[in-house]
Amino acid sequence: MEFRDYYKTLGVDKKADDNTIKKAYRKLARKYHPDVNKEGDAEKNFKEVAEAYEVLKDPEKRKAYDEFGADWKAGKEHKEHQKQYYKKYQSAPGQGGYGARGFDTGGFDTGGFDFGEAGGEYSDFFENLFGQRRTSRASGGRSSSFSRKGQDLNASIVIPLEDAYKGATRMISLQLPKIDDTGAMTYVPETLNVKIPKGVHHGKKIRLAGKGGPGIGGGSAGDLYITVEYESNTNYHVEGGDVYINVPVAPWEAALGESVSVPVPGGGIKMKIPKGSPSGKKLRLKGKGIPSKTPGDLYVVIKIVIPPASDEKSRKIYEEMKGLNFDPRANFKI
Amino acid sequence: MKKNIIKIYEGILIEEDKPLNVNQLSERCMISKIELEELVYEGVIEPLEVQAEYWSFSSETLWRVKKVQRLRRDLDLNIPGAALTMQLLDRIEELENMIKRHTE
Repeated sequence: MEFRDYYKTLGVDKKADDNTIKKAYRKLARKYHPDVNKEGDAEKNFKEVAEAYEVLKDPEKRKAYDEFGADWKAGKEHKEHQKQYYKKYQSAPGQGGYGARGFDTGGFDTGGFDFGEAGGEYSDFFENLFGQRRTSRASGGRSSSFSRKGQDLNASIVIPLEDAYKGATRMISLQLPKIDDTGAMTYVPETLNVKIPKGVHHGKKIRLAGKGGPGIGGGSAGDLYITVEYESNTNYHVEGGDVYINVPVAPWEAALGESVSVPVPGGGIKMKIPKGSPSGKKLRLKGKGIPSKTPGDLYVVIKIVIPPASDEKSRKIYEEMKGLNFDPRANFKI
Repeated sequence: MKKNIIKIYEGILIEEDKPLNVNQLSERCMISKIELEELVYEGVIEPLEVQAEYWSFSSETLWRVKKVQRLRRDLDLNIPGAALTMQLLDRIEELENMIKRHTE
């Protein structure tokens, strides 16, 4: 655990006014928001920015952070700080006020992030200073009339194309929110075996009912949504249910015609390359794409690969081909 | 010896999931029904049948609305602002897919 310099995170001065802080937050949030920025670090950066803003926008939290945060040290002292903080600014931890009010930002999980005050993931530093967020179930008394479905969670899984053809069971590791004995929300690592349905398309989501965040006040648990992504591979691409496979072919195979074997997911096939096939020619195999009630098609795309003229024999053959009276630029005009 | 039983979870592909009605969508996304109506008029989401007496939405709509809510909350956007952002993000995704196809 380490000290978090929230002013530095937002790039503002310690004396910055609320307006400056808000402006700095918005600028960084637009830059790093995971819905806008798909780069790997974006989500981590955004969480840091959101946490800093969570503290600095709130006069009470900012004051507590200024007082206790800067000289924060590991060990017993921080417990003392937390106590002082509660004494000074709150009635008691986990009772009404602070606990039930909840945070209005955050609420992230491992595989993505989600909306809601039902769960939050802050740095250890934050939780040591302000305490963990408590659910209203633990904050006693008032929760009787209040119940809500738990938070929906997001995760993703990358599968080989073959799984979409045959279906499979894949393991997925993630942090799932649980409510511990004290009523605090914690994240517990869990490994799930998830069935990948045959015929699943890239980018589609699978819903696992009840595997999301715990419900509040007797509400039912949220759902876990798993986004399925195909492994990226330069030898194929997929558009909807149609699969395009690039098959490398020697010039003479394309010119003279030849049967070549194509490693199609779900079993290889023999494919007849018609005589005189140009590079880029597509051969369609109806219904051999991603399986479903109306299965997609499989396109074998011919990609002519030329042998290097690296030894005497190949050089000689290329020299001989010069005598072919072939003009590749016969129809070349700009 | 204790036998390890491996539990295999079977989910539902959300495109095959049941459609959501306005109440469910509003509750799951913490958005008011009036705001949902605004999202329909802004073209961010589309009911399965616009003419229907009671609107219902594909379960994939849930994710669009949740995204709108995150953008509104985290970036302080109003609905037209979030609608424009969604439109531009959709366009970027479309263009990125096009680039991917042509660089293979």
